[in-house]
Amino acid sequence: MMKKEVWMVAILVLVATISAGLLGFVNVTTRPIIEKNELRKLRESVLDSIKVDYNQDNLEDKFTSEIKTKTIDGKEIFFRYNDEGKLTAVAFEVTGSGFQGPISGLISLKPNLETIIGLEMLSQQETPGLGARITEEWFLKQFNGKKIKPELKIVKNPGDAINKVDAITGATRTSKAIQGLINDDVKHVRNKILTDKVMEGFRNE
Amino acid sequence: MNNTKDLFMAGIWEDNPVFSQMLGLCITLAITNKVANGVTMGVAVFFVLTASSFVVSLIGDTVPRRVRIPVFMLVIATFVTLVYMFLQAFFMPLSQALGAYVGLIITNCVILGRLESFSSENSPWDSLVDAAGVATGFALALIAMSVVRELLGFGTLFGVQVLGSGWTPWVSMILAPGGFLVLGMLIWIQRAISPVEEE
Repeated sequence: MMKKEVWMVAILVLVATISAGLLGFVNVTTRPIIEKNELRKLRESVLDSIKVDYNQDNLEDKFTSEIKTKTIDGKEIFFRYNDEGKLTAVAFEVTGSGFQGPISGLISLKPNLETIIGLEMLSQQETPGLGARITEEWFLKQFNGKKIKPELKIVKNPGDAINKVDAITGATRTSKAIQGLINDDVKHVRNKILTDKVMEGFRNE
Repeated sequence: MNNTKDLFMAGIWEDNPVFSQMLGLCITLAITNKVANGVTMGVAVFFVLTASSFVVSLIGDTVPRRVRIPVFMLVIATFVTLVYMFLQAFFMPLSQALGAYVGLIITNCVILGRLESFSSENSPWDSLVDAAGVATGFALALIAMSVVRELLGFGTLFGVQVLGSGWTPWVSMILAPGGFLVLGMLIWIQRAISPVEEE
């Protein structure tokens, strides 16, 4: 009897060890590739949201020449200046809880921090075919040129209102989540991180 | 069942995991509103099911009965995590599209069901054939359902517009009720073609 129980435990430990070893090995080998993918995706999203043209070969060059990155209060903020050194766009990550898990996107704004230039999705775990449609072109394109003033609203039948975009049918909670995370994070960056004085300071760096 | 072809075909039609055994319905209802989701989930389940069936058929005799479920779960979870990391590293867009559903393969009872009722008591070769048949049956069921639902719900197939712009999408088809309706209809059709004999 005793022997049987020892055998039981031994088998479990053995299988768990093999499994852990295998996963550890694959994790170590794939992690650098995954991290590279994520960095690339972030840079692509920054350029996409600011509407900078690039292709797969010149992504790195474009990013380093066009974009200045600053970490303020632990948040990475991306600035783009034109040839005369005038600030033309500010981009940063917006994150929050969706319906099924965390959602993170990348938003870029004009220097007034009110007008949206573009919005891209970085990661989400919403329901495929419903909430997950927030990654689709038609949904994201609506945000271009909209104003977060006083607040952005994601509603049914938005009409021509400058601060409203169309929600996704069947994914009310995801739509509300996007609305909330954009409003909250933009407000936070506006009030806590980027005062006019701070932005003025970066101009010459 | 010694005939390889019969063993394989059984998983596809008579013992189809979705339409006949009624297993894995949670995933089936959740992801079948787009054909691309159905295909990817089908491929992922195929890999996990065949790989874990093979491993379990090798170690089935050694594992004491009382710890077989934890051991099976470990094997399944290992393969699912491998698939997840592999997708993230080499098929980034695909892994983002499937999101949380890859992890849910672990709890897919089609897989645990096959390991428990077949692989643990049969030879590696028979287990592979059985797993391949059942996984193909599962994938075909997902695809059959998602074709109907995407076509009626979005008017598209693989995201390409198929029905003209005059088509009004049936929104309920992409929501849960549409899933139940289509599942019921397809089971009806399958049973009408090959009726189950009451024992």
